[in-house]
Amino acid sequence: MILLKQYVAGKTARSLLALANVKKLTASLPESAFEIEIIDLFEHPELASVNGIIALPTTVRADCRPVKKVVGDLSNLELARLALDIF
Amino acid sequence: MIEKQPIELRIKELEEALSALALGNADAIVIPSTDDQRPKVVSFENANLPYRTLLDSMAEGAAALTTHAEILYANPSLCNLLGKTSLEEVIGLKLYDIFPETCGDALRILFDAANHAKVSAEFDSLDSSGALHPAMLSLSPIRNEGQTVGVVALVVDTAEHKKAIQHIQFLAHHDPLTGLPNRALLEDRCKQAVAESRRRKTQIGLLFIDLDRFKTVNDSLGHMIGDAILQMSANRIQTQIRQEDTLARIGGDEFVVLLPNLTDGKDTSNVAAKIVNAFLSPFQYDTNNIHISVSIGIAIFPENGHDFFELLKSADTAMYQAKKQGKSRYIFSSAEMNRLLSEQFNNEQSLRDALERKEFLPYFQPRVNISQGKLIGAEALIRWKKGTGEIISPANFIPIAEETGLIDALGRQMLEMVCSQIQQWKASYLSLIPISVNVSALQLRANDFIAHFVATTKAFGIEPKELEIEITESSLIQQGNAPLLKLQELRDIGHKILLDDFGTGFSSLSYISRLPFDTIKVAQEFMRHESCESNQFEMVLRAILALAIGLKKNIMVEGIETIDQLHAITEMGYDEYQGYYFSKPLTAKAFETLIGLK
Repeated sequence: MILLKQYVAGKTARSLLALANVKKLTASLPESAFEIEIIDLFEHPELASVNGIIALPTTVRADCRPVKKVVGDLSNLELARLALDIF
Repeated sequence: MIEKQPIELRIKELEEALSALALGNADAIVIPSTDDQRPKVVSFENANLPYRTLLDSMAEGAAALTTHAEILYANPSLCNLLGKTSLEEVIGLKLYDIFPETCGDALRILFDAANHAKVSAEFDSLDSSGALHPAMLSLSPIRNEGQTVGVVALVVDTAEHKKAIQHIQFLAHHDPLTGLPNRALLEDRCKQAVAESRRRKTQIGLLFIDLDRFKTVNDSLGHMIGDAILQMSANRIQTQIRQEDTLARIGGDEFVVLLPNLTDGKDTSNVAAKIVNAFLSPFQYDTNNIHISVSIGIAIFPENGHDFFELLKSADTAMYQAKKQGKSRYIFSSAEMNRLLSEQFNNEQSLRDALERKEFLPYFQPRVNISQGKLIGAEALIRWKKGTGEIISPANFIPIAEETGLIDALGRQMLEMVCSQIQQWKASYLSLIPISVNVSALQLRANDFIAHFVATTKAFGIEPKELEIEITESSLIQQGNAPLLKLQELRDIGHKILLDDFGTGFSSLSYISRLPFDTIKVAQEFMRHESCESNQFEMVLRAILALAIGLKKNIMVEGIETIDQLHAITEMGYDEYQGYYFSKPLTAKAFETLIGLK
């Protein structure tokens, strides 16, 4: 199962866009094939160190080693798809 | 579990993060703590707060877009315009998603152009219900160090704006009180009409209409009633003109009607007369009955002017003439037209006066049976005896009476006179023969024709067999079925029906067989021009006689003036006639002598 961790900074514009785009990334997958966990670092800044988050938003694919990361709002969906290996 | 990463990977991630921040794809950073405290998350958005507030307070829709046309942020006005209740519903949508699919290609081209410069275009945007709103879309590039990092979109709903512009345009060309075109629009339409008339060689009529006594009404009853009168006047005039005509209000109580594309400028007199007549009945406002008439001046293109201003001036001058001549009338700008008009008007007016003064009287022309050598009836013929003693023949006034609608009143007056005469003769014990009255098919149109006819005969104590009705065959055929039913009704009561001027119309034999009548009166035209001597006419006369016998109808000939004519018809087999040979139409007194003698 694909496990995506979407790190956001509250409701900043880029965070909201990243959330919208991560949904687009998984739109073609069956629901049972993935899980999206939204982590708001405004609420829980201590969780930033788990995946070494530097800037927000950041999307992490946590079901593989090493984990795959994309920093930014995923507005280039095709690049994001490649980086996170979601097809 | 905290991941330990190789330093190379950590550096690569750091580079990626800085790049995302530089491009604006990320808008917050995590600042690690040096003393084992919780790290801090700092958003750059707070720095943009004043600008965000400004955006949110805008009435126009505004959005920040990524270079991929995704909506990064939309202000409340745009969300509202799109029918969305929250920002989350809009963020991530592409610009193309908020416009109909048909705009897609045009939007893509526009968006590509917006990467380099500010562009704008009008599109229909979709609201949440799928309804289309015309909207102006402006796109401007967001530049950072020579690179386009995003695009700002401004969306203005132009529906209201358009409505406002339309309203302004309407106000610029219409009178707010009546909603009619104003002088500016009239001028424009008149210019178009003049251009078209030049091309098509047609004429234009311009009617300058002024409400008589309006100022008095306005001053005495107040502006509110005055305004209502103006509105009601506009309605009255509007109902008298064609759809392609223009009615404009160009001043306080001044209206102008433009009649384009006329084949004959004289036709304007019909419209003008209808408008004058439309103001004969009073306006009702609350409990007030307000009498307002109109004076109309008429100018015709090209006779009275070659452009709008000349025509308007001519019509205005003519309107003042109409006022001077006593109001509630129309006057042409040209002298020739006025001469024709005044002739017609004078005729009509004198007919009305004559009716009032009872200047009409019946003459009687006997009908004769040849073999029995006796009178079998008489036709009552109307004559107009003017105050001067001059006798006017019906050919000179019946057409005017029919044209002006006075034929009803005239016919009724004649019927009463004839009935009264028959009553007098009966009282004097003169041997009585049936008298026939002429009825115009136009009279039969009146709803109360039968009721009036019956009431009149009853009032004078006239038996149906004593009063016959003459009607021309051609007029009956033109009027359709309704008059036939009325004639049948009179025939059922016992009045005989005589089909007058037979043979001059477009007699349809199948139709004639269905007409309710008793006697055919062969038109005197057959006796003129020595026609009874010609073989052709003889054949026709014989055929008509055969037709009458076949239809089992009585038959007679009109217009017998000579002994030769009498011999000719007798030889053919006709047995009844009417004409100068026996007697011209006589006054009642002379007729009395005749029936007393014969």
